[in-house]
Amino acid sequence: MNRNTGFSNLKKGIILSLPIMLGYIPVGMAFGSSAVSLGFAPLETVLISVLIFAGSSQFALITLMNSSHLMAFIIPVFLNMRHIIYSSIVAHKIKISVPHLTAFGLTDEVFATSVNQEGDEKMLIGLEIGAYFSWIVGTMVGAFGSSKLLEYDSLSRSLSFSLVSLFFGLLIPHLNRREIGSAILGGFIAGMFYLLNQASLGILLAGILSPMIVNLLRGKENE
Amino acid sequence: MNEKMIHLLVIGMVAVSTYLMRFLPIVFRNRIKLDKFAEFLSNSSIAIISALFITSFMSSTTGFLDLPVAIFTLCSVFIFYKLWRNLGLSILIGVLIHFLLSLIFPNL
Repeated sequence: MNRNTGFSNLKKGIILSLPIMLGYIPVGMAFGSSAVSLGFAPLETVLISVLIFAGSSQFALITLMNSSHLMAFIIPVFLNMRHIIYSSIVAHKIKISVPHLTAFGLTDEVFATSVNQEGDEKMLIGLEIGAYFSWIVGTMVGAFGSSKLLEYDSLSRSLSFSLVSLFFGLLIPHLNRREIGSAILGGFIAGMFYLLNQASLGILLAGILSPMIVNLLRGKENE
Repeated sequence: MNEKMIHLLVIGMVAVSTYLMRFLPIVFRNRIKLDKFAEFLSNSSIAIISALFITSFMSSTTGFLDLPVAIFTLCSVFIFYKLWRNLGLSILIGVLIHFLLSLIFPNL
């Protein structure tokens, strides 16, 4: 591949990332302001986005950090295990020559966009660049602007509620016949444990027990 | 070790683990068989997202008076997500609706 083709594919990737950017900036802002409202310093909040770059697990991290450090590590890692699948699929579809760079930006949205497009590794990197910088910019605006925003009690409560909205929004695409069982079971287990004052344990058990129960029930259905 | 250092350590550990989960499958792509593992992980991710939703919902709604605003906000997130298929915008609209409802009904 010549240099011009490589650059044009990189540009194509950045252009393709525009819808992702549109989505990432407000969620990044919500993440930044939520983290600060939960007691994280603005710089620490930006550092989380710079180093981790995985939306839902970052929200899980900031939610759990004040209750249990162990769970603040285990739950995000557990949530991010789906990236094993993403990377494996992408590696089989696209020839990857710089895995240490390409791997970093493989988020849900980048993965979903890349599997629906014909392109090479440069296009994938272009997608990742657009997504990554919009996520950082969103986080910075939310984190550094939130001290002004949080002076207003109503606004502060609404920004904190964005966390609930995010998890709900991530759940909506899975509210179909095949996946709703896992969602209901996971929510039920977590709700029960929350009432017993064991929220973190409930989330972990939801992630382990729900797929096991769903598989068991499907097995019985198929018999 | 003080609290700040523990925070940074946890952030670093999550960052390294997340990166390795993205990086290693690319390096070892010919050795990984995903057939059974994929379904478990997929169901597990959905269950965890649902668990996080329920936990954050229950902790943010402190009483029955909060419920109408919370439910109305989530309904609008659902409707706008179905209309636009854009998570970020749907959440932004949700935050605005929650804020407006909190201003209109300050005692809720």
